[in-house]
Amino acid sequence: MEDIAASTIMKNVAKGDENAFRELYEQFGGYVFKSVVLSLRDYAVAEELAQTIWLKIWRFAKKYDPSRPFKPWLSRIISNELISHYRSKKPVNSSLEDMQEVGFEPVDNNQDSQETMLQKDLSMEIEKALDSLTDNQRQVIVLKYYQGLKIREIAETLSIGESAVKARLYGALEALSEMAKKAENG
Amino acid sequence: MDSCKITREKLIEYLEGTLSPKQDEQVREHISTCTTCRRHLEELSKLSNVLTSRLEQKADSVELPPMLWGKILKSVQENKKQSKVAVWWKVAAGVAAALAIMFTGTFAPVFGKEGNLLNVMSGSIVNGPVEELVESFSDDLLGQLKKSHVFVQFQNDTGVTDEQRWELIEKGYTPGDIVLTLVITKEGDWTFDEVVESRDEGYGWGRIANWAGISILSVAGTVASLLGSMKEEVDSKTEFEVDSQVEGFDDSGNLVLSDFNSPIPFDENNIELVDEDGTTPINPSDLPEFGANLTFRIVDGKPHPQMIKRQRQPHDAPPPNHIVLKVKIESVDADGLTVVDDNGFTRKVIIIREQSGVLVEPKVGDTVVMAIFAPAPDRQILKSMRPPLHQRPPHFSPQDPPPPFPPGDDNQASEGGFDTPKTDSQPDDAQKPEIKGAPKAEPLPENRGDSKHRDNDNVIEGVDEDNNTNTSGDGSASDNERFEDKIVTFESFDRGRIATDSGEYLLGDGCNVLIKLVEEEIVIRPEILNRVKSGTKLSISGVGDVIGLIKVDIQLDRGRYRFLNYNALENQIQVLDNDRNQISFACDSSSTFIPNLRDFRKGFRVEIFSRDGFIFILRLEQQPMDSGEPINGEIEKITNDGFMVNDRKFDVIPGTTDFILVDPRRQGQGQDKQPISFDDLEPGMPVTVVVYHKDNSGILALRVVVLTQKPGEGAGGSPNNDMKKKIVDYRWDTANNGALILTLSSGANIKIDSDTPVLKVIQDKVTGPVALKDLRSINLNGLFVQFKVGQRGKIVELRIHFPE
Repeated sequence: MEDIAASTIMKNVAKGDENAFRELYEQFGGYVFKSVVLSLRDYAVAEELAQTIWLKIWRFAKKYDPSRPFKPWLSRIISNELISHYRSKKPVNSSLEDMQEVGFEPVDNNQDSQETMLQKDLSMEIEKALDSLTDNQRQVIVLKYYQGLKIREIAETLSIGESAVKARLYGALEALSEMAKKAENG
Repeated sequence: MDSCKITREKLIEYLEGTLSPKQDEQVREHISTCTTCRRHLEELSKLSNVLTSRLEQKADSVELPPMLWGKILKSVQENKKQSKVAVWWKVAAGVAAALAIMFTGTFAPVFGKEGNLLNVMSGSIVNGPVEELVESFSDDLLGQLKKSHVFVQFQNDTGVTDEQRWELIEKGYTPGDIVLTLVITKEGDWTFDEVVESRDEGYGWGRIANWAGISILSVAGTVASLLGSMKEEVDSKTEFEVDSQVEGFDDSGNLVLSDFNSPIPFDENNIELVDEDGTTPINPSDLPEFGANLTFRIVDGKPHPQMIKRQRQPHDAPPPNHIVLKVKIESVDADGLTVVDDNGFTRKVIIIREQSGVLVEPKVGDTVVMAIFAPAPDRQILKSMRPPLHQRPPHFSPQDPPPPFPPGDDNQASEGGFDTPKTDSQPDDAQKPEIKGAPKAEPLPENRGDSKHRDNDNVIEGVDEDNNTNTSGDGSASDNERFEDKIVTFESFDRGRIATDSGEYLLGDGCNVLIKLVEEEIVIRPEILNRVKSGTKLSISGVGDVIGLIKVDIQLDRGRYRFLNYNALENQIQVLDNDRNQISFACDSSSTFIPNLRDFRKGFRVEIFSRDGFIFILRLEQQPMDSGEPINGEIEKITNDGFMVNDRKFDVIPGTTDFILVDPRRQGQGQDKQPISFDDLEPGMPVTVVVYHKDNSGILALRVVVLTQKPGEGAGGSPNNDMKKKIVDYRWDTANNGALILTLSSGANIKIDSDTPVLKVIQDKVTGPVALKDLRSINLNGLFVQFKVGQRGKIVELRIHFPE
């Protein structure tokens, strides 16, 4: 139902109707922002990304096929934006790039090996543990357990194979459950 | 475990129910026999549920940023027009403020409810010339007349008819709004109606201007130049003619004009009263009902009416769009009202809910001013209704906002000063030109009708004027009195309403909270009131029950820290204090971050103003500078709080320095990097130090990459984490008991004491110990060494690699 209504609204958004756009925002603004916040865990950046996402919805509304459900289309835009954010997310300084040229690829904090992570804090709660996942893992977790997508849909959304989705998901779940166990025992 | 792997990967799909029936059956079968997988499925299912509920829980706690929609809309606008209007908000606010002050003496939110313009406006971006203009308009009668004259000229210049302008006034447009409507119509590629329509829909002026294809900058320019030249023109004359719309007469028989603040004395014998043709004489009583134009001269600041020309003949001309007249309500019934005007003419007026802006509850016996559509003589429709302006209680300054007229548009508050005639009972010198009105004259919806009624009743019943004045400042929520810096005691705050000891107030559009810091004042969103304790004294300014500005004097704790992290989900900010203890502060959307939080990186020095662990303001203490080149070298020395590389001391601040061990030979296989800690550092380690950020006072954050070899490689039993280094230079320190000083390719110098065990290595095999002094005869340049470092940086073992 929600999707049918959204498809109708989108037809008007495609025509440049700002009221329709506003209506769409009222319906999905929270969903978009929350999806981004949960994937990024950073409000400020999330706000910026959400803004970009909505601008894209506005700009690409014409490309949306109203005969298809709206939410997957929206998820795709959200995911694309997140992915391009992850790609661009490098500490902002030139010396680091210099380092990479020399053959050092800086480690992302999120990519701590599981062992180190566990050593850090055994009593971590799950949501804190989510922080320790890689961007890719966390994104898949949010797509699956917050946005409620199936593996196939996640694969479509992220333009990757289903086996890659499964691997990421499985890796993330394994890490989370390990941590949960440790937390319980600790 | 491995034998079950395929099935285990399928468990997720099994749980989500997307397996084919055959596969589904397979999994089901497998689970029934394999306890490991069954347990795993249970775990997975449990974890899935926990994740779903936790994520939902977390999502519920995430609030959509209130300003996000405004930002999105703005970027959409910008995208639409492809124009760079980054600064127009500010300029627009400036123009708005200027216009508002100029025409109404008030900071009206003329820029509409979209966006947070008043926030920007609170910076009082009013330029000098405009203030001058305001000054010259503030002198009572002549000021008002001049102002109106400028306005009329402005209208003529923009080609808008009286009818159109009148319609705007009827809609409750402020003079500032009208000027903007006219300018945008003139400058943009939109019609007058399109501009008005958008405005009626509640869009802000900046947006409308943008849509109409003009930059608000050009609006500002046009307004400034037109008004400037007109003001000069008006100022240079001591005598000029003014046209104005006659609204009627006040109780003392003065002419009330639609767009003048002051009534004009009416002397029937000295004024020519003519019909539309300009020749047929008419009676004064014919004037108000059909509308008339008054032409008068201003001589030395006094108006001299010359001619009043009725605009339409009652019978053969088409009925006007509407008429405005003062009537007494005879009866109220289900369809509408029966009213009688001053001339005893009775009308049946229909109220159509969607079209009629009824400001006061119609009550038999009340005198009201109403605008009436007259599509047919027998079908007159009420358009708007309000109490007669000149019957309002005398404590109303003419420059105070009159009641909104008509209501219905939240955003429109009719401003005083333009269509508010001065009351007879109010001597000229009682006017206070410096009174500037207030942001908004929007009473609380629930007592809107009542309050107007009370005003009305007061006058009708002849309530003592002095009493009225005396009670006007008591903060009664239904009073339209302006108040400034009134001290109240804060009780509670809830979404735009605050309760105080002197009643409840509504926060005006863009109301801010001003907090006084040590040497400055900071503007914070009103949500900060959530953090203000009941009983705190507030100093409020506004009109009636609407607050435009709140000043709070609260003691905030001030501290300097290093920024570590912002945890969005917990809404917490972690910082390090001077003793390097980690401290968490709570914050929320009402906290002010200067600059934007996303510009904060770990290690940055910040200043925090807080109270009870909640951040009110977080600001960067100093803008960090670009970091320099990475520093390559070996760790020469390790101290309690840092280390030295290439003779440079680096302080290690916990939480702001990353230490990473890199094995270049394992690159591409994953696991080539691993985080280590400060304690893992040893002298002699080859490192690359990257200064992330620094400021004048030093380094803010570091990344230290330690290069290593894969353990176990190289010489058997060699110390971990070392690698072969080439000797580029060496010298024998004979004074120091024959020590050997090696200069290595990394640039580091290491000292080998005479008693240091030295091992000879050929083809990566230790062939045996060698006495240091035996090396004196050999050219060491170009040879490779490995060394082990012990406590206090002393080399405890040296391996020297010889070619075959």
